[in-house]
Formats: sequence, structure tokens, C-alpha cells
Amino acid sequence: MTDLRPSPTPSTTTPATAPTEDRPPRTPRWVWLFGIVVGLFLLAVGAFFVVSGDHGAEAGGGVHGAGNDPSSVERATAPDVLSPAWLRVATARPTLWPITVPVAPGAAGTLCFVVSCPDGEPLTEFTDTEAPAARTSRLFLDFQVGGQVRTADVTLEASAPARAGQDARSADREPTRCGR
Amino acid sequence: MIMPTRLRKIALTVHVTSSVGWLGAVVAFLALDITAQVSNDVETVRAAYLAMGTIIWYVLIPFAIAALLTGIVQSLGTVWGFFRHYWVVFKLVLTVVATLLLVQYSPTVGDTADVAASIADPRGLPSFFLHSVGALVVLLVLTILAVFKPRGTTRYGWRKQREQQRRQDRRRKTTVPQMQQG
Repeated sequence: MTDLRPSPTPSTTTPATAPTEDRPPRTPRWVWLFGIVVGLFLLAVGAFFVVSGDHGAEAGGGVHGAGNDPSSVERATAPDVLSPAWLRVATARPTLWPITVPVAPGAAGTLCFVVSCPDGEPLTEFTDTEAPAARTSRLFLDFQVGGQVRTADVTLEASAPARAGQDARSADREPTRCGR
Repeated sequence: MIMPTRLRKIALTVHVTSSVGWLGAVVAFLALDITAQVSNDVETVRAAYLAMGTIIWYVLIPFAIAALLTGIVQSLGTVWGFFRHYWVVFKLVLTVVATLLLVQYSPTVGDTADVAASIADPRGLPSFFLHSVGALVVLLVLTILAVFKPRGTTRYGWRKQREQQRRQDRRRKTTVPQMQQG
């Protein structure tokens, strides 16, 4: 049996590896195309962050606090016994902040704070019992975001619970808790 | 710092597993997100949000970081390097961006899951569809790059290749005559 395969030792006259050209290789076309796509993607991501950041700054402040400033309260429901309430706060990015600090009923002390749960669902209504003539009330909600307590001020129409949030219904309510 | 074959294969296995696991978790996340948006059943929607909160913290982030770190190990420990081939550069950039976006976005998902756990009706909470689809596309592109390894060396890679080739040629030229003498 003779081995017909060529000798594994390379000959000294011809190098085993082809000599490389002295010029660097051309950049393949896919690199350009793909680079453009990736670049556009990165630009879009960057633009998203810039635009959403600007939006947060433009939208006028209703909430006082540092950091990722929530700029306005879109919806407020008061915390009740069964389930913590939540606020939708307009920020740079749409975020829901659960309220972990109980709501302080109106600073003036005239605002009564009524929570009712007719069928187990937390429903919330703010009523101004001591000054029924007043149509609007100012609420100061303390809520905690990432360990930092912030205050949001919300203006609600006292006798228009629908303004307080989507959950507000006109069903009979039983007051469960009242502020000072 | 080239790894020995066995170690390299173990590292590669970990890299492939975590990367493909990340892709799978994104698909699962997307399915949950669609469920949360489409379903009318309060408890189904709540469960979907809770599951998304769990997946993002305990599956997506660990897999993403593992994929990034094992990818770096692959680059350091093999001849592919970081900046020698265009496809490796693209993979590195896209993985870093995807991981950063994921880490940046996860508190939002976690907060929403917390809210979904506590409110009476979690329907209508925000959707994560755009982010999920974006992640899916990026991860698919990364997988395709990894499998096809399209040609194209950077100038740096080309210089390194030439250096290596010269070194090899020199070694051959010196060893072959010695063998003939012996």
C-alpha cells in the first residue's frame, strides 16, 4: 500500500500560505448597508430618548421632585383598604407609579376623602363635604418612587367623580374613611 | 490568550445557550404582552403582567448579561477578536445596545407588574409591544450574523492577520531545514 497523498511537510520553495496583498482588503458592500441600518436604528433610539426627555420638560410641572420628574397627573385614585391606589403620572416615559404613601387629604382641611368599594373593586371619589359649594378641590398626593417621596397636586371637581378617573362610577358609595 | 479547545467549546456552549435563551424569552414575553392587551379576562391580564415582571428580572436580564459576557469571553479567547471582523463588531455593538435598553426599560415593566398586581382592573395598562418586537428583530439579526459570519475583515484585523501569517512563515522557514538536517 503506497500512500498517494502528498507529503505533509511543505516544500521550502513554495510557501504553504498564499502571500497576502499589501493593500488592505476592500470593505464589503454588506458592511456599508448593514452599517447604515444599524446607524439608523441607533439614531432612532437616541432620538426617542431625546424627544421623550423634551416632552417631559415641556409639559409643565404639577409634581415636585428631582430626577425623572413626573410632570402632570393624568389620573388619580385614592388608596383604599383593599388595594393600593395608583396614579398615572405623565413622565418622560409612560410609567405607572403605585402610591405607597397614604394620601394626605386637602391641605386646607376642608376636603373629605371618601373611598367606597361596592363590589370589591376599589372606587374612589373625592368630595368636599364641609364646603359643598366649592366645585373644585385641590389634592396633594404624596407618593413614593424609587424610595423618594414626591408630592403631586391635582385639581378635581368635587361633585364630578368622573374627572377623578376612569373607574369612578355613579353607584352608591359608602364612606369608609374620612380625612381630618 | 487563545483558549484550549475544550474550554473554548464549553464557553461557546454557554454563549449559544444564553443567547438563544434570551431570544426564546423575548418570544415568550411578546406572547404575554399580546395576551395582556388582547384578553378581556381581568385575571388573565393580571397573570400576564405578573409573568412579564418575573421574566424580565429573572430570565431576560440574566440571559442578556450572560450572553454579553460570554460573547466577550469568546472574543478574548479565540482568534476572532473584538475588532478584526465586521460581523463581530456589529454583534458587539448591537448586544451592548440591546442589553443597555433592556436594563433601562426593566424598571418600567417591573412597576407596571406591581401595579397590575394591586389594582382591580389591570386591563388598559401600557403595552411593551414596540420594545419586545424591537428586541426580537435585533436578536434575530444577531443570530443570523453569528451563523453566517459574513466575510469582511477590518483594517485592524487585516494587519493582525498579516502579522500572524508572517510569523507562521518565519517559523516554517526555520523549522523545515532543521528537520531535513536531522
